[in-house]
Amino acid sequence: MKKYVLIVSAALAVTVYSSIELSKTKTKAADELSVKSRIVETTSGRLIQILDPQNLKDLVSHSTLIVKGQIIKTDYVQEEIQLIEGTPERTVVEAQGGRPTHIRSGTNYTISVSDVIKGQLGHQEVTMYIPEDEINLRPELKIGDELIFNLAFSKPIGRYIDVHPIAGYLKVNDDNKVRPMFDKGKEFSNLNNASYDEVKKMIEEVK
Amino acid sequence: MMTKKLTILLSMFTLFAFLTSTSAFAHEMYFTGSGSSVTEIKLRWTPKNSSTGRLKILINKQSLTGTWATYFEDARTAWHSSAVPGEFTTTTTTPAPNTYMATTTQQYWDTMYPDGPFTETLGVTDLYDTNGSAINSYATASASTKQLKGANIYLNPSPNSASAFTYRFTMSHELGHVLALGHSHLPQYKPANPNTDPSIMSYDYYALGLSYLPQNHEVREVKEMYGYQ
Repeated sequence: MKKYVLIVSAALAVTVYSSIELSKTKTKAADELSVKSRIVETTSGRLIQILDPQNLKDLVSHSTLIVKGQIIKTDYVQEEIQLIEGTPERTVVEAQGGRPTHIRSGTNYTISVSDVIKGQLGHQEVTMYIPEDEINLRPELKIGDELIFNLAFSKPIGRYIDVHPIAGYLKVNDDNKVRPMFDKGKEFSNLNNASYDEVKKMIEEVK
Repeated sequence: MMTKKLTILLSMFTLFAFLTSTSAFAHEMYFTGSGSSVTEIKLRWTPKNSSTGRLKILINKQSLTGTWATYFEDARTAWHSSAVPGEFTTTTTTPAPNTYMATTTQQYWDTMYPDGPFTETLGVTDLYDTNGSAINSYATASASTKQLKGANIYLNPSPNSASAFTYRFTMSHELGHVLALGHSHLPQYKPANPNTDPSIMSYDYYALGLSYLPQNHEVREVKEMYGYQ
């Protein structure tokens, strides 16, 4: 009987040890990844390369619109994209016997703007779009959240998109202190807990 | 009698513990949940060579242009020459292709994948089930027949600063999806350690920049998923 208990204990010990070792190595490997470029995959299997901004100036220079605002509405949208005849994408879809359309799914976030830091805005509201399969690459965004949004206009979809899935967002807390979502790089870390006015000034200085 | 029962019980437990502690686990393309509560959808590629029994991937690359076309042969050969029980060959009409690769138009890409200045979609694979329905999400995978008869791989017409390795790795990775191989890097889904269990279905491994060739990980998973010895 004791013999069997010993065998089971040994097997369990090996199992637990292997799991801990694997988990340790995983963390180490992830920590060593380059902060400049990485490939991620969305939930639908899309392979995306993400570059990280080198500093605040890099982020700001790529943003055509930087605003402080509050998310007031979210709408899940499914839009049908017609595949144009004669194009490679239509040719291969038809070869599979499929319909000449693709569906683009995502969420429109309506932002009520309280301050424009960079760019021109004719309205008090902007619409920002995030593809459905990329939502989990972003920080959680809820109705009522106030943030500084770093945006670029996408002509093909006629809406704004964030310039970076993480660095594009700086949360503004109730006490008007800023918390950047992106912590790679000293400049971004230094923004943590700074007042909104201080961060606005820093952005204006580098824009 | 009691000892015999106990022996069987303990042996089964030990075997279970051993199996769950090793990487004898195939990553499916579509799943939901996390950790031990993962629900997977087991999609399976059905075209096979009736003589050899190997999985048959007949690729039409007529719509593949630009640098993707330059490096396509490297990605195809990587799979065809690997120990994976599959044949990756090119064809135009006869035998009929089951996999199509396309470098899309810029307009389509920008409309479907509105990337920001710091992000860039490189490739996408849609699968087709035996009813001809496209699979590109958990929902469509769930509603499918689970039996695959084809695939389309769409590639970015103008990736910024992509290296030869990126082109080769992206296509090799997408060809893995054709066989319904899932991602092996996701933290919530038994991630493969890139150092001890390299896998081209892992972006952790991609980040190391070592190889675009299918690894033992892919060979093991294909054999396990499709019942090859």
